[in-house]
Amino acid sequence: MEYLPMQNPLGFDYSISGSMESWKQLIERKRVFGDLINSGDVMVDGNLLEANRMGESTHILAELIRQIKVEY
Amino acid sequence: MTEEITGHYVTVNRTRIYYDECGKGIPFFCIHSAGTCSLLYKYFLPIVAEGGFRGIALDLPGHGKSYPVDGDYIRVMHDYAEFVWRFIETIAGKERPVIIGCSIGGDMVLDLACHHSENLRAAVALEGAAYTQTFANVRELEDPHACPGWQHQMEWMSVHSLHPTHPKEKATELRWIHRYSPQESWASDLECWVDHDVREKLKDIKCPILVARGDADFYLPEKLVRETVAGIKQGLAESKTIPNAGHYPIYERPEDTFGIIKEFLVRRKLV
Repeated sequence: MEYLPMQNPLGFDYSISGSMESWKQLIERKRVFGDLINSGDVMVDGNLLEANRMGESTHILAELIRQIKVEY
Repeated sequence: MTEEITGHYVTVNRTRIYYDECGKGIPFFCIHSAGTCSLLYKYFLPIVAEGGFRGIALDLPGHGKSYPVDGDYIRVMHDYAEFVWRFIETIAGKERPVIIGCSIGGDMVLDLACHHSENLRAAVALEGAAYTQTFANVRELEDPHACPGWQHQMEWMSVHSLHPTHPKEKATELRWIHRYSPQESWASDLECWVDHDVREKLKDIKCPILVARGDADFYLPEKLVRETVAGIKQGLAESKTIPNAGHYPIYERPEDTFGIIKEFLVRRKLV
């Protein structure tokens, strides 16, 4: 059996992932969340039913992240 | 005084079809985007009427108050376009109309221009191109049990594609405009979008055509607009970027968008 050290053996119900550069683009308002999702630069994954239940909250969360003012 | 929009029904190919109408003059047919209905043109139609046209916006089959054709969805853009062409002939008779469409409606305008341009005054493809395989086919997600979060997900994806400066009430209204078509209709619309390809037929277009996109639209890369215009006989096609607009210029910037179209029609002595 292939050994995958970073893989959760139990799987996951919901995950959202993207590179640091992608999240920065969202916060700095260079790209909107829909663009990042559409291009696959940010990905929602997991159990389809559970991930679907989180759809509305995911987009609301992303909108709130966009509104955060970050000082680097 | 602003012209009033009135609702009508007509039977096309045994199918009862709903359309909004506003104004008198040259027929000006408006085709909506995936998963929406004629409401997308609510702000645009009165402007079209004030500009001296007979604005007509239909609910595509299986959307809003229009029945699906023979109880099924249309999954091929050319079949969709041919049905809409019969609708146009039924309403406009022998008058040569202007046709415009947004998103899948923009793709449909290009299909119609490739096959019926001798009977068109002009065509305007907004947020559409000759080839739009911009994402994977979503057919496997068309049943609500397969993708129970579809409605919220797609409503949000529509809202995100508005220009970032959009007012909050426009976002709320756009979500409601996406609630008059079932998930299966929306998914089959997107199936038409990803399979649409009229690149080999662009040379057959004989009427003036404007291909335009909002400057903030991430769904339609500018490259696809440029390639579309390049494939059409020289002198017939123009491209335009609509400032401060996303994927729905007729909804977001109705006056500016009509101004661009009217200028195109007047400059080319089509009206």
